[in-house]
Amino acid sequence: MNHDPRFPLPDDDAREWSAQERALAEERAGLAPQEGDPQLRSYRLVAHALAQPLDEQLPPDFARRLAQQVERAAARPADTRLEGNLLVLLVGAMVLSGLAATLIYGAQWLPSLDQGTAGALLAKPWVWALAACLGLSRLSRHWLQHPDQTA
Amino acid sequence: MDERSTNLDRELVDAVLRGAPGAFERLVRDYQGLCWHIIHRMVRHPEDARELCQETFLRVHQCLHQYRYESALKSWIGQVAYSIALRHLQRKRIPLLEPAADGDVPSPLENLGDDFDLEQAFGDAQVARRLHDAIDALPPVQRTVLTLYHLEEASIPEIAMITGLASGTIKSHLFRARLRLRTVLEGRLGVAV
Repeated sequence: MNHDPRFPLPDDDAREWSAQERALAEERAGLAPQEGDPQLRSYRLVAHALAQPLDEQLPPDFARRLAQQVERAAARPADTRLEGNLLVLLVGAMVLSGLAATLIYGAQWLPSLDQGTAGALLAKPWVWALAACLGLSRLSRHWLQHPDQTA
Repeated sequence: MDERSTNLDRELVDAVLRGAPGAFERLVRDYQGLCWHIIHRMVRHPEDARELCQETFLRVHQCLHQYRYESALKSWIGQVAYSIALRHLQRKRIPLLEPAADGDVPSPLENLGDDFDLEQAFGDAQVARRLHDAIDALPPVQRTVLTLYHLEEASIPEIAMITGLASGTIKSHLFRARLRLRTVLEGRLGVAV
């Protein structure tokens, strides 16, 4: 604040203050402006202008929209957590079922992949185990870095 | 603060903190007028005022658990709105008050005369326009104090709670601003808009 005006006021100003307050009280009470006191009538006009609603207003649906926005913001973290957990469960189930299928039925179809270098590598069960280990390691690092998504 | 309004405040605050359906919307509806009057009068820019009102209620929602019922909820929310508007003006380097007047500047009281036609003034749209322009031209803090006192019908202690100004300072702002408006009304001072 760069300016701090002083109160109480000298006598002339005190009379002026009294007229201001009287005009405000009369305006609020809805009394008709009286003849003969120009000071009071001026302040009645001032009080009347100051009590007028502002030209611009907030939109009528301001409260509803803001409440909806707050509700959405509050609901968002829970939704995100649920989605994240479901995704982790799904990926985990797919990895486990893939490993189980390879272990149970791999003997029948893995040799058929033994064509060329890539095929030869894919035909080795330990390559699949290595890939699973790397995948789990990557996932666990992600969980450690983002504990809020797995809580 | 009377007991009835304290209980109403407590019920509303508890409902919002509990997340009761519709409670926050009711809180916003109850106090959006107050916030709008404070912020709009401070910043005078409708778009900015709308955004700052939104920011006010988001802050209220975020900090409501810190409200300790030491003042009326109205004053507490008004205080949040005022401080947000104040920070906005400070960021934009807009002066909050008029510069201190020098001793040589005559009092507006000396500028008042007797030849002002009040009969004509009542009901004159041009006079009303001049008054509203004069209100707009007041410094932000004076505009806001006047609006809280006249439009919101807040008491001086309530205004002190909202603005953090001393009661004497508030009365002085009211006095000077209304005297200035009277002087403008009676045609002795130009309105710089």
